[in-house]
Amino acid sequence: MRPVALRVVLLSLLALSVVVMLQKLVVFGAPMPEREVPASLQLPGFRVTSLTGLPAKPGRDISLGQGQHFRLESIGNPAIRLTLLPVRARRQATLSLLSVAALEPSFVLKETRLQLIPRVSKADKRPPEELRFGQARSPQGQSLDLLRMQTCLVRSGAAVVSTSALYYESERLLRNQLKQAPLQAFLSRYLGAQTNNNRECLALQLETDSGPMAEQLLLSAWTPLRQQLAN
Amino acid sequence: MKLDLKPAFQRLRSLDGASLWLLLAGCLVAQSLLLSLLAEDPNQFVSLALAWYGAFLVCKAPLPMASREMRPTPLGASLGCLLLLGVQWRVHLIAGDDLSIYLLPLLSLLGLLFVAFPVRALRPFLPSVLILALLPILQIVNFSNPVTTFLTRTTAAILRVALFLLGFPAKGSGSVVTLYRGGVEVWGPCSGMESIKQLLLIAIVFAIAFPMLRYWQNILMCGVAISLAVLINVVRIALLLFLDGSAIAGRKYWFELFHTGWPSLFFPGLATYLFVCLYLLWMERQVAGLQDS
Repeated sequence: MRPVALRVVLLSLLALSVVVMLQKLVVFGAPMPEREVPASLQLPGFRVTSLTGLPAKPGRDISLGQGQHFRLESIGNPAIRLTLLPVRARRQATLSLLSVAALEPSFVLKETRLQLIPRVSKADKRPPEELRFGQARSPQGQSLDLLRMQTCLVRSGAAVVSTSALYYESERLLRNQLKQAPLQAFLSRYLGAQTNNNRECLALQLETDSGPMAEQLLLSAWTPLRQQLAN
Repeated sequence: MKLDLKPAFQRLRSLDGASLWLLLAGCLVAQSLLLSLLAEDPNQFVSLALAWYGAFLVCKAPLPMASREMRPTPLGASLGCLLLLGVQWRVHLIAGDDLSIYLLPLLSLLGLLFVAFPVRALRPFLPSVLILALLPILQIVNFSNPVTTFLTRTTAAILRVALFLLGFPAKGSGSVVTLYRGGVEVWGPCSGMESIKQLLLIAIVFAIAFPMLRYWQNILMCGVAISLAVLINVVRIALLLFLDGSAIAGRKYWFELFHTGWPSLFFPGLATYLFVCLYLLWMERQVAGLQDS
């Protein structure tokens, strides 16, 4: 190859590399979630009505897909407002409900506490389900008059809240995918045909008026909801 | 103030082939490190930076090379171009932590070599290719379940025994260790795989760049590197365990900081320092022995 031609090739490659690097530096953000929120839900014991949708919000560390609000009504109980929001993080450390709350104000909680629900079957070795409860203020309210329950459903069906648990579930999922067809999985990931969709979860929030039976009510809606969303 | 880029472009156009090649190599290294910094945890960024530095250190070719030595064959140059274009296309697709971040440095180096040199001139670059090839190999090992299971269980067992010998009532089984109110499961970043990767890379770079007198001594130092990484990781997990069981304010914050944040790099840093000290000590003794004889 002649030196002039080599210089042209090297200059072109240099220009391309600089452009790609600058492009990454400027627009590098979390990919949009692949999971979609179901348009309708059917929960035994509840009448479900679809409300307004939430617009998708691309972000640098975390991106939110198109979300959906639902209203759940049961006889003799106050209505529950359900919010489903697909979430995808750029890397594992940024996948958390706190990051979701930073982008979506309706997920902000005060006076939070974590509740762990052990697995029913003793043969099920997975960690317990994590649910986060907390107080919030309604749009017209002056005090913390709402009780909210939040969790994030990962692809394996587990409901997790803490960053460590999200990491655990996400890595377990990735390892299972790689174990099933290692060569194919590695090749497709190296070539970019398959992405790390394990950095994704479905954020879920149940909300009702604060009261003595509010927590029980939210948990009664959570059980059938979890069944439906896991399938 | 007006930014005048014309002189910079003129200077760029006046550069010879060798300088342009070095500039392209620097740009590809910067691109790879930037991607890792944006998309991955600090520990993984350090592993990649170590691999690039190691690849530069073990390169036996004089850099910068003379332009007259850069006479690629048309086939080699085409292959190199294709590889580098493929790398740029793949970099464009990356939008988060991605397995390809570990393979792209190797492909970039191969592309750089093929685009500028004939195949017969590539021999001095082989150690650098080997160092960068270790990245995807170690990554595949990282996803091998038997290796990680053995590593996590061994780390947890050493921690339980060490705490028991120090008089702490540590309990647990498998990869779980509990102490008082706290507990940790040795898994993911706790397994210490990233520390092992870093120390093993350093041991192999040292073995190529500053080899010991005997072949087996370098193999032994690779074993020392792995053991040191595991032992220092045990100290880190002990700290996490005490943090989890403590009553200090913001313990969750401190836990996450030493779990995946930048401060967690202190421990692989300490292991690296100890390894380098041990290596230098043994080398000094060998040199002294040679001088005596």
